[in-house]
Amino acid sequence: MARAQSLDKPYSALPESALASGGNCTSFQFIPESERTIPQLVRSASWRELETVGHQLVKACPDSAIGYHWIGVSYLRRGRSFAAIRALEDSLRRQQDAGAHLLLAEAFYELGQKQFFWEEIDAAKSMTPQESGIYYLAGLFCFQTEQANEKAAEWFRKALDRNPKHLLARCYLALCLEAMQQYKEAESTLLEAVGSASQMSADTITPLQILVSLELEMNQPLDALNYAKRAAQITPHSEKVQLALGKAAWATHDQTTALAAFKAAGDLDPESPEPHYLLSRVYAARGQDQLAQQEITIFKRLRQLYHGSFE
Amino acid sequence: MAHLSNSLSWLLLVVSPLSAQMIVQPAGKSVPQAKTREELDAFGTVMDSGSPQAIATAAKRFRDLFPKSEFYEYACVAQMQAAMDLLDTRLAEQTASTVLNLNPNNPEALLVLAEISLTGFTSETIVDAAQVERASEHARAALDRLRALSLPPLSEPHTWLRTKRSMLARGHLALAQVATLQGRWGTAEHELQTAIDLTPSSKAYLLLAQVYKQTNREEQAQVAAKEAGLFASAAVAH
Repeated sequence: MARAQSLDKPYSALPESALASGGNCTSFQFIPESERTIPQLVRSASWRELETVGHQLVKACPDSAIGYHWIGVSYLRRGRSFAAIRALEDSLRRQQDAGAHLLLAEAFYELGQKQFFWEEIDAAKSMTPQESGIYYLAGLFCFQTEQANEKAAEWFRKALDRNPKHLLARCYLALCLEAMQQYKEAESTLLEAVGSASQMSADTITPLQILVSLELEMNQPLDALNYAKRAAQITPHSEKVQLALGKAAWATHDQTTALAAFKAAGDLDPESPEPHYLLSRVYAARGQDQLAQQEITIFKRLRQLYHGSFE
Repeated sequence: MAHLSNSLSWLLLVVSPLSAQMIVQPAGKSVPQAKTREELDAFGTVMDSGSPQAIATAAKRFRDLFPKSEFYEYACVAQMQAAMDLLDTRLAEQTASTVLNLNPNNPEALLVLAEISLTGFTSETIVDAAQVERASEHARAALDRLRALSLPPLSEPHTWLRTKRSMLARGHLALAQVATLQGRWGTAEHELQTAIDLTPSSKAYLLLAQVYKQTNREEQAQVAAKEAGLFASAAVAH
C-alpha cells in the first residue's frame, strides 16, 4: 500500500505580519480593534468571521492592504484557493508584504501551479530570508508535487536551521530521508520531535506515526510497537493510528492486539480497504478461513473502488 | 435532471479535490499548468461561479479567451454540466462531443451523452431503439473508464470515493433505464440495486418501484416508492 505522504494542511505563512504593519491603514477606529480580534479569530479558525472583519477593513480603508490580506487568509483557510489569490494580489497591489507573498505561494501550491509558486517563494524569501515557513513550503512543494526528495530535504533543513521547533518540517524531512533510505538519520530526526516516553502531547502523533513505519522498515518491530502504543494512547480514535498499531503488533506476532487494532481501524473508516486485507491475514493465521475469506472479499471490492481493477 | 449538486463533480475525480480547490496530480498525469495568472484567474472564475448560468458564462468566456489552455477540457466539462443543469441538452451534447474529441476517455461526457439519449423516454413512449442503444454504449463506456480510475496521490480519499460512487451509480441508472425501455426487468432490477448500493437516490428507487410494479410485486413497489419519497424530501431539505 502506498504510504500517505500528506501530513497536514501546510499552514506556513506569516499571518501576523500584515497586522503588525497595519497594512498602511490609518483608520483609528478599526486598527486597534482588529489588532485585538484578528489574532483571536485566527487562533479559533473562525474564517467566516475573519472574512467579515476583512470586508469591514476594506470599507474603512479601501486603499490599504490589510483588509484584502485577511480576506485572502479567510478564503485560503476555507479551501477557496482562487478567491484567495485574487484577494492576496489585491493586497499586494496596495503594499508589498512577505506574508502575503507566502500565502499566495500556498494558494499556488494547492493548485499545483509551479511557476507562480516559485515566483512567490522567491519574493517572500527576498523580503524575509529568515522566515522558516518559506523554506518549509518550498520543501513541501518539492516533496509532494515534484517528488524531489533530495531537494525537498535541503529546504526542510533550511527551515529547521531557522526554526528547530518546526514540527512538520522535521516530519517531512524524516519522510524525505526515509525515501532516500537514510533510515538512521530519519529516526534521529523524529526522535528529537517525540521527546521522552512520558511526553503525551497531541503534537507528537505525526512523528510517532512516521516512527512506527520507519521502525518496521528497519526491522525493529518492538520499537515500532512501543511508539504505536504511545500514539494509540494519545489518539485512540484514529484509523491511521490503529492501523499502525495493528501492523506493529502483527510484526511482533501479537495476534490479539493486531486483530483488535485492525478491527478498530476498519470500524473507524469502513471504506478503507487496508484494514480488511490485514484482518484477512490475521484470520488466516488463526485458521479462521471463513472470516479471512469474508475480509478478502470486502478488501477486493473497496480496493477496486479506490484503485481501479483489482487484478 | 438534478445536476446542480453534481456540478463539476468530474473535475473532483481527475483534479481532486476541487471542493477544497486543490489540484493534485491525477494518477499518471501532470497537473494542468496555466501559462499566465490571468488564465488561472479566468479558470478560477468558472470554479467559483455559484449558479449554472454563471458557470456557463464563465466557461464560455474562458474557452474563447484561452483555447490552447491546459484547463480547456475542464472548462468544457463545467460548461457541459451547467448546460445540463439549465436543461439545455443541445449545448450539453455539443460540449460533450468537444470534450470527447479532446479526451475520448472522459467519463462525465460519456455519462452526459447517455443521459441525454434517455431524456424524454418513458415506458409508454415509442422507443427509438437506435437511440437507446447509443445510451447503453455511452453508459457502458463511462462505467469502464470509471472503474479504471484510481485515487490520485494526495487527494482526499473520502470525497474522491463519494464522487466516483455517485458517477458509477449514474452509469448503472442509465443502464437500468435502457433495460426498462427494452422490457428487460431482471436486468433493470439488478442495475438499480447496484446503483442504490453505490449511491441511493430517489430516481433509482422510483424506477425500482416501477420495475416491481411491472413484475407484479406490489408490496416491494410500495416500499421502493416510499424510499424514493424519503430521498426526495432529504434532497429538498438539503
